Amino acid sequence: MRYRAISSALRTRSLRGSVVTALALIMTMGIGGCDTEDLVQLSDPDLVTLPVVEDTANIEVLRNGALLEFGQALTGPAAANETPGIVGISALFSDEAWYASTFEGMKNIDERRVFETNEHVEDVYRWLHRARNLLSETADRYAQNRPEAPDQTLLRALEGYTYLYLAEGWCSGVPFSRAPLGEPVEFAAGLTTTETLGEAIAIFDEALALGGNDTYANLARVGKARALQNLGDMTQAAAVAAQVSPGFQFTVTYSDNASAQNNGVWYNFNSSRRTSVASNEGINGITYFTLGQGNNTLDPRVPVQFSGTGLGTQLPHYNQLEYSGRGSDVVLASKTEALLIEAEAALDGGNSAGYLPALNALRAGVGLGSLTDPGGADERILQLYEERAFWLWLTGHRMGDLRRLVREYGFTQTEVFPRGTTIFNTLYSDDVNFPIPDEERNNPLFEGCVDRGA
Amino acid sequence: MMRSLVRTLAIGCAALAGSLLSPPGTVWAQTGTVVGQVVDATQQQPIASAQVFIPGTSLGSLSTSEGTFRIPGVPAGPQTVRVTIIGYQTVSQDVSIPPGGTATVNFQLAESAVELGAIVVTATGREQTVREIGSSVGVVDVENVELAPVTSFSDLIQGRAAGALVLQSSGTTGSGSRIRIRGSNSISLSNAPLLVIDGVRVENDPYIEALGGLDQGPSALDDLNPENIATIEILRGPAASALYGTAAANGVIQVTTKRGRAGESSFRAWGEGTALRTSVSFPANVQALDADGDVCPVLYQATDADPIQGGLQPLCTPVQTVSFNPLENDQTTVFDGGTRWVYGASMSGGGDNATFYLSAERTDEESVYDSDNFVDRYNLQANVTGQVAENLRVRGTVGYVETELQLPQSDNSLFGALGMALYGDADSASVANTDGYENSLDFHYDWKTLQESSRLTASAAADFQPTSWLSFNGSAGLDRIVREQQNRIPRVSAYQQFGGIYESGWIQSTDTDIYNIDTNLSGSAVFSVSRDLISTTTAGAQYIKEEFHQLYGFGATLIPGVEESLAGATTDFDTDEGNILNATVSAYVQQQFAWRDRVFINAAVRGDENTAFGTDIGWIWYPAVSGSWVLSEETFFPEVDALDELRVRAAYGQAGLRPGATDALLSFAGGVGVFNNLDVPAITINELGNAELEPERSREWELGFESGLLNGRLGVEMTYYNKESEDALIERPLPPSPGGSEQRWENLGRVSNTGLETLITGQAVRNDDFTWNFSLSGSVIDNELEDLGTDAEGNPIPPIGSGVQRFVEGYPLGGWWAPPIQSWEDADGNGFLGPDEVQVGIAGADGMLNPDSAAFQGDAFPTREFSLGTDVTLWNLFRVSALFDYKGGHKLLNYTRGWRCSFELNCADAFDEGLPLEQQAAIVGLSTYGTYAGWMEDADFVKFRELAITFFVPDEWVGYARADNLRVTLAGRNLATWTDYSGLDPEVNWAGQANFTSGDFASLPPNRVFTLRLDVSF
Repeated sequence: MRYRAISSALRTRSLRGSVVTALALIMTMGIGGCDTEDLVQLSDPDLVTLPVVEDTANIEVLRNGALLEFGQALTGPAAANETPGIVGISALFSDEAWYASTFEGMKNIDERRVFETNEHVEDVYRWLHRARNLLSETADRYAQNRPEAPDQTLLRALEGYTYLYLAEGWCSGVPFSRAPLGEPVEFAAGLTTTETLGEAIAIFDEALALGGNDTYANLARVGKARALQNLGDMTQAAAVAAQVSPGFQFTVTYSDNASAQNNGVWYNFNSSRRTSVASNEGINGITYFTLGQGNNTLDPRVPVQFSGTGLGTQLPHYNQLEYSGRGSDVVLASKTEALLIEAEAALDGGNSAGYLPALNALRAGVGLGSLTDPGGADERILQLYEERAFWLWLTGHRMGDLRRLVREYGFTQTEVFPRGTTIFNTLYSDDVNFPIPDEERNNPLFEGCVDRGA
Repeated sequence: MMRSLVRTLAIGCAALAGSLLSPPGTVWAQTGTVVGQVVDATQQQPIASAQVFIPGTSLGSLSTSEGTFRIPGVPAGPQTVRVTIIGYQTVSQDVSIPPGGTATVNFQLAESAVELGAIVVTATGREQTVREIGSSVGVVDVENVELAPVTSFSDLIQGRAAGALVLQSSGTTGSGSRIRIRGSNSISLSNAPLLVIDGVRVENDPYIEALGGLDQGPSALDDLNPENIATIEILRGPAASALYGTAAANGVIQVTTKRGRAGESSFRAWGEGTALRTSVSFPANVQALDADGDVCPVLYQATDADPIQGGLQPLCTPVQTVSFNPLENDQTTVFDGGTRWVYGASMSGGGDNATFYLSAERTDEESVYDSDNFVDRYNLQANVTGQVAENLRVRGTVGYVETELQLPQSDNSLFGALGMALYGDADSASVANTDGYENSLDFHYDWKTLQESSRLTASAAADFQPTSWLSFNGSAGLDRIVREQQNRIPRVSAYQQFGGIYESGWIQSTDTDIYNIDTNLSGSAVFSVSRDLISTTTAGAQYIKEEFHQLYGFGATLIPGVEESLAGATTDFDTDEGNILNATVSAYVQQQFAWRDRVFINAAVRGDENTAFGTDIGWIWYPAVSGSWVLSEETFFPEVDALDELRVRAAYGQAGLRPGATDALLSFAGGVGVFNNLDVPAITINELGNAELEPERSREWELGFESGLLNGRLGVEMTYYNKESEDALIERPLPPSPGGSEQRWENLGRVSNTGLETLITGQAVRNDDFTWNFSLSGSVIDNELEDLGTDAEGNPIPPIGSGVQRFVEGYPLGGWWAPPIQSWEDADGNGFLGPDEVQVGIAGADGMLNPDSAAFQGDAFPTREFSLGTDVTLWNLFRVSALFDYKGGHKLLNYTRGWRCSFELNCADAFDEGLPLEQQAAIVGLSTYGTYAGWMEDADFVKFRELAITFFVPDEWVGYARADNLRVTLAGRNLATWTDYSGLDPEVNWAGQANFTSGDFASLPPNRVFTLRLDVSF
């Protein structure tokens, strides 16, 4: 038998074998007992860790990060296939832009058929929360370590704007959780739109209470007035807006330096040609410019240029020239907006004679002729909102304005939002806001949209 | 206290090591040499490459082409000599070795369809026969690889190993394949198997990073030249791969490269020319036009339902239909056929003390596209073995691969030629302006994506046997990959029309350096516990270090004449650096008891400690136990004429997948911001981290048997397995509202894979003039995400993913999901379905259909696969082999046709007035409701994968050329496909080697190839 031969050859060595077996085991265990952690401890030069962030010497670098997040939430990153921020998607949802390329999710936004699974809406929703959280965290650190620095006012004011955008763009029920740096995540339940705007006002008030910098204070004032306007409290809104200094303008700054600092709306609209500015979109859309080749600009406040077709499609594409270069800044708040709020308050208060001079005064500043009173109440409010559309073109206001026309002034969504047939030969749907992305369902306290109405 | 103890024990280890430093020659008492010859029992022909060895020692040799062997240094006295080779029964003979003399022993091997004698190299570095191992080991037959139309490692595996699923994603030259062994275990981590070459763990990630967004990219596996491979073993799961520990949960592919054989040196040269052709007919673009010449779909056109406009209004009235097929038109097609040229040579030989194997090959492939899509690859291999002393054998292997690759825009790229053709217009203006492509073909030619890669894989190993019962094995290996990748658009190109960064060209350059080392040291002791029971104990340690380093640069607005280097960029600069570092230190012990050489019990445990920033995972232990019983060798086994061999086996094991080195860590990203109009450094949140992370752990048990029937003519192997992965490492989506990272790694849930694998091999006919062999392998699998777990508050984790592929409890990983098309009705009786005649979604509590609610539509990966291989040899002059490959039980999302019919409105169906309502509903479902449910199609297919006809030139003719052998092979690959899938090919995947992402999105089907090959040896 074969096995017996093997066995007899080895049996006499069993004692030695036992010893060596034991030693082999020892060898293994010895390695296990060595300070093996030294062998697996490596240094990764790419990492920025919490101690670096907590070092107060780096607080301004953290502030810069918070501003970078806010700038990205506003226009999106300047990179291929990226979403053009709240300015871009709110323009797409309203009549400021149509989609001229191939991404279905972006088409759906243009069609006002936005599902919870829309990845572009999810992008912007996340970016706004990222900006909000880091602005808040950084402001807290300034309050602890640099209470005298005006940066805290800026950070708080911008934090307030993130609440504004989430209230104006999304349905009622947005939660505002927190991710404190180095601490566990604190989940929160959803707030109604009214509660969200109330939070925004509280944050703007906090910024105003810090004082110290007129520009930053005016930024907070315009934000607060905008929040009050959204709540329908035009009297208070006008009162706050009136405090804004003449000539005030706050811009979110971008740079030519690196792609991360570029204006993402310029990149998406003009460089990638994925999104086109629109005119006469969906029956109700404002005539912002002339369609077709030629000199397209009708109004100096809406500079555009025909550019051919969109990326990967035969759809007509128009470049916006509001942001003519990769480093173009975005006006976040201005005295102009404050004056428009005051004009709306005048009209809302029944002072139909008071709103028109305010609009015409603004128009005269850019060489435009005066408007005449259209007569009826609806026509006046539509006229005022059209003026707002031109003055605040591509700054993330128009979608909130259309919602307000429905919510505060009683128009139906089919009377103000784009409707009928889209540029893709599909039908517009009837959404008036964005749903909260389904990723939020990972928040144990989240219960979905409270209200999908305007 | 425990640490103190093991430190003390470590001193013992050092003492042992010291003893091993004594001169090896002094340990042996007296030795002799064994010589002999191995021949086929039936034909009496020499058998080359048989393993001849002394069991329980590391002494052994390979038989030469004459079948002879010589094993020096064998301890004097009674010994057993064993011969084993795939295709024959294992035979042992007892022999007495005279001190200082030579013993002769000859072997006659009977054929066997059961591979119990195959030698498998284990994770410890020790060789074992298959009969000793209690788990299923897939041994890929590479013996006749040079006679088959196989040019890549993926080709070699495809259809040749049950349970190993190879999915070729594209016909694009240079693209790789997805390989899954026993299904997918991990939601977020790679499901690709571990790759081990000559005992060294090597890189197996696809080379797709930094390919400019292209998803089709090369596979690390395809760096291996099939010509250099001696054996491929597939350890299918943790039951077999536990000793590889962390990283082995997806199975292990072990490759051993060829060694030289003692004897006269042999020289071999080969060359082949291959014609590549597209394997499908492309569909024409069809469109209806209205009176203005605008595209006007007959069916499914949107209507304005707005009440202000007064009800439904058709958008247009078609007056004519036009058709054009840019890919089938000689004047406009981008396909002009491809070629592949392969030239190679190898040399092997050596004497008693040293052998060598040298090989060189060049592969130059031009794709079926008329643009610059090519691969130019050089493969060099040099292997040596040496008997440095009687008890010390060393071997070294060096493999070097240099590849130059250029890839086209393809698949989900706006400017891929295939996509532009399939989504193009058919009207006369489009045909005149863009040849019927969606955009100018200049886009296809202008974008360049290049990759140059150099890879050095080397190993050095030593087997040291201080006594006949004690042996040590040590190895050290290196895998170094240097890749330069570039994407660029020249200064003057079609992209100029877009302005911005495209206006004057741009260039993106990525340099990657991967540096992996692997060292292993083990010792084995064999001794007899009793007359019938032999114990083998192996213990060892391993250290692995992996470094990934990458530099990235981008710039635009190129200087004229400097358009192929970043030096030419003048604006839009962007730079980055990435480093990934990981180290693993391991220890393992394996104990085997062999009872009467037919019952084997193995038990093993391996411990790993990994680099992990931000957490203290510590040592992780993976146990394994298995048993193997060769029942047919028992005296009580009934003598059944038809049943020659029967082995039963069972195995259980664990293996893991580790988290990334920084996954546990709260980390921040550096960037550049703007403040007061100055460019300033900025920090933002990168990852929230999770200090509780642990490795994912997979547990697997399997049962199986091998049987030899009909005098070795038929072999049947069957294995049932059940694998569960727990603490699955999942990159769980975080809710956006906290404002942190998008995902966070968490240990969540449980994934199961159960299945059955079978292999039937047979020799239907075997005589001097005619042999006919066949092999049928197959597997079925059931993959399920059993549990996703709960969050900290005890709430169930919501499904992961919201797109067309999701991870939902109770369903397969990455299965297809879409809002279902509930019903359709041609209410107005016009024969066409309009948007309001199709109902999509799932009813909510209010009874209303929610068009965003998705339902499961099917598996994304095949759940069953079978392959049938057969070969016939006539008069030893002709050999004909064929391979058929079936995969099924899954669906494929036909984006291509869905987009053509629903969005681009250029598919013939959109204008077919007789189109069945079900298909109309699929079109309307996508165009109106955005659901792909109607386009997730059954993707079962059978492919006539290979056909090869070889002519063995008769010896008398060969003699004129002073050669030993001359073979001429004519072969074809992907010759036919049978499927109900309506797209171009059911095998493609636009996302290349992605973990789960699948779909047919203007993807080029695998090519049909015809090869003429000449193979000569001297």
